[in-house]
Amino acid sequence: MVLLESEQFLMELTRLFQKCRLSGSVFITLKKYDGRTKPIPRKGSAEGFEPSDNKCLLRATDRKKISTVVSSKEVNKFQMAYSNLLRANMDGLKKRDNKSKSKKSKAAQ
Amino acid sequence: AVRAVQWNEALVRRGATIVERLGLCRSRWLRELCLPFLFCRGPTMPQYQTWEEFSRAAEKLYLADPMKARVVLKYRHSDGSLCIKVTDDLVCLVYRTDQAQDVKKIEKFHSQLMRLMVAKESRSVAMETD
Repeated sequence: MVLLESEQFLMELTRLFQKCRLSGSVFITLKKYDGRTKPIPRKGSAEGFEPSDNKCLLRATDRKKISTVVSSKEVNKFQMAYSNLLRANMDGLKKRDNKSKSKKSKAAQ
Repeated sequence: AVRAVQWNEALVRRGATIVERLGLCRSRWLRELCLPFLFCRGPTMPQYQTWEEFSRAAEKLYLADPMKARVVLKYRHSDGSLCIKVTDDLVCLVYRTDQAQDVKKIEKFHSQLMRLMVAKESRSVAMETD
């Protein structure tokens, strides 16, 4: 599992989507993250570990795995880029033929 | 009379094969793996037909325990299908779609959850359901 910086993660994610256009699936997982880097020990107490509250972990995979940690400081910038990325790449779904088509073409811009 | 226990049959069958294959102690399997599912009163993996029901249930599931819940998106361009799943490893909520109009809703929901996760507890961001 490769841990990347947010920008690099977005670039790699675009690449994953492009690779999977003809066949295959892209999985994206989102989870709240408290910053731990060591596993929780079964016996005894966790050593002086301060859980942080403001991060989340994003993973993406299509056999090749990538991941990134997003914290509250970067979330604004990251989220805009990420939303655009998702909308641009998840474009293979069926469009409806009736009047909601005009709503969608507005959304696409 | 209402049955107190609803067996999750598929799981019990699967568990029995695993136990045989691994030679695990049967009683331990029963205690540790089966019990949570044996006592559930309904399906543990509902698939939602409407987006509104799904997003409400998913938001509730996340807020119940933010550290346990995770969101998974699966996109297949070849099939033109998108699936979003929210689970805390006990309950699993799924919404599948092949409609382009759902992409925006799902992506927005995903982003809202991301914001909830990075927000500090003292000021929680309100989710807009629709």
